[in-house]
Amino acid sequence: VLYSQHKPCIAEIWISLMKVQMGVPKFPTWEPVPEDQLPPSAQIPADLVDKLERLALLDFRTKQGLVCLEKAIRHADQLLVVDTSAVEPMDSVLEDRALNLRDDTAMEGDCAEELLRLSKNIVEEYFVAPPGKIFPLSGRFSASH
Amino acid sequence: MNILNVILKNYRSRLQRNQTTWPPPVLQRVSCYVICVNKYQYFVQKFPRGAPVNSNREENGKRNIYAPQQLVGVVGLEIHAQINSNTKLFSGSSVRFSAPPNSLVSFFDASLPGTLPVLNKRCVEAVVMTGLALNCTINKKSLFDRKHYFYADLPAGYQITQQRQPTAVNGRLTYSFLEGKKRSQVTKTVSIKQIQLEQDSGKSLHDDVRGQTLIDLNRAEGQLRVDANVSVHKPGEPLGIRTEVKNINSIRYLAKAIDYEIQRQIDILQSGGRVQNETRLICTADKAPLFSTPAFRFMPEPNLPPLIVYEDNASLPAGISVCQAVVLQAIRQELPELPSIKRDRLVQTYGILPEHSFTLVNEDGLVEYFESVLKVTKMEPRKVIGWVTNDLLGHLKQQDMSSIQTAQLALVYILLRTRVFLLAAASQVFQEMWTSSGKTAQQIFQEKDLALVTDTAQLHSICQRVVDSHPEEVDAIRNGKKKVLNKLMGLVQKETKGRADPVLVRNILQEKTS
Repeated sequence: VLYSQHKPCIAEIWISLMKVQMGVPKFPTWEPVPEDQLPPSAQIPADLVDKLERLALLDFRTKQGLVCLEKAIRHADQLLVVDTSAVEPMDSVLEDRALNLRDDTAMEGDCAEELLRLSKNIVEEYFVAPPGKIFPLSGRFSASH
Repeated sequence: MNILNVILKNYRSRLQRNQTTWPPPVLQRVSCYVICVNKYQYFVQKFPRGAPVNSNREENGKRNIYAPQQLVGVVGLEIHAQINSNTKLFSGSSVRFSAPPNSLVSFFDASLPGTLPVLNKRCVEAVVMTGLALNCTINKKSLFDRKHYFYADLPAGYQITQQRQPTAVNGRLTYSFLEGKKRSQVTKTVSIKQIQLEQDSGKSLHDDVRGQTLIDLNRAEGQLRVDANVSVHKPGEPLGIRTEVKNINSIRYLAKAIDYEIQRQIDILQSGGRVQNETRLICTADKAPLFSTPAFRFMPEPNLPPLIVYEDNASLPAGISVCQAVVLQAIRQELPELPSIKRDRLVQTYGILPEHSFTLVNEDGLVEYFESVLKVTKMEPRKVIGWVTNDLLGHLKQQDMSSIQTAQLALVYILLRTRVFLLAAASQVFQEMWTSSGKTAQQIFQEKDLALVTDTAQLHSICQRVVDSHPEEVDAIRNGKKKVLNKLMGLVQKETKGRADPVLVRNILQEKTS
């Protein structure tokens, strides 16, 4: 694991995780949410499917793909039943810890050779990517995948 | 001579340190009105809330006064400025202009799995200072967010930024400029929505021939970049649908692009159309839309706890050392004199015109130069300002800007050497320095025989000649008309081609006419 200059924090993470674990039950428990407690299932308009495909960089406009999408949304609908009133959302388990600030002194870098070795395609000292026009430019993801 | 050497030495080292900021590039000249710390990886958003923007102003050179139902433009600027730091915002790799590609990249910058961001304290201090300079409220607790988009120059797939709660919010910048033939001063205020820290993306070079994109993750482009959000509406009504004009990297184009976009939207609405929410590139003449504004899927950055800014050292909680804390009080003390305050001070202290204070402040280093000339020469400020704004800047604009350093040194030298500011002599040497390169100020000084006449005996004899040949004036002075002495002084200066030490001449003449 490459925790660059962050070693003191590994211990902190562990402490936090231990604390969290103490409050967590030993065995998983759940009960299924009955269908009638869920809001009516939403229809997904065609332009929303378009947008999701674009953001996910996936092509799922098949009958099977749409069924899968509907199931995923229905599964997530169960979260709507959980009462979150008066509960502040948590960003991370470290959110009450002090943010580590670094001095403005160069400590890293100068490892182009090492990094470029990880790449399949390079030209001189550059990484090589497929032509850059993937993101919504043409409306749909056009590169092969 | 010793003192002279010390001052010259100080001056030279100051010049060397300022080598890159003098002459000021166009960008820097502009940035002093936008922000005072022109640095790495954060951006300022200027947002005049509902302020009408003159869309078609240049008709007959007059400003249009809008009829109540007329459409007006509303403009928000997103200004990206690089913080002047040694290392990057979230990693300890260097920041350097024009370094070999990917040489300034750490494992974190390359988004290798398992690496974590570590925030640069210097960048936080810079954004807090900028916030203070722009009259912002500094959030004691600010948060980091991830902004997602898929592009090869962003290997992590997201950029760390501050969306929900940026470090500085709700600021304002009051600025003045001179307008019209009378150069009357106009003062305006622009609201600042927020100032936030944001990670830069990499740089991509498109190789159309081979159909590939080359990626450099160094991320130190060193430029000020502006995106403009433009919409039109009728005053008092809700804001219209906005478009974003991207890719503006010169101030001249900024105004052009905004004027064009406002007019385009007015034309669309007046012909019954609808403005599309889209991003437009400035590079093509017809500004074809680039892409519709994407959803960035913002989410909290889980790897960075909230950033806390403390009021003073006393408010630091136990376990937080001073070197790990960002303290408002300390940053407030380090805030340099801001341009508007500096301008007021110059006008108040030296009695110069407001327009001259603009000229001085807008050129990097010119205020310091002006003040050091005053200090050394003890000269009347209003006389020096004319020389600085006319001769010096005039030459700067015409000639090779890099010569300024020599010229400055030369001038300081002359001023020191003569001890009295002899405008004619200094100007002459200065002129000569631009035209005949290679000659030192001293050489010209000697060649042209411009040295100040301080030989008392010589001055005595010249003064005696003048007094003898002007008995009427001498009588007038003896009868109490002291001002006539100036005429005699003028005559002495004429004889010496303006090189006589005025203080000496005055003393001698007073002696001879009493």
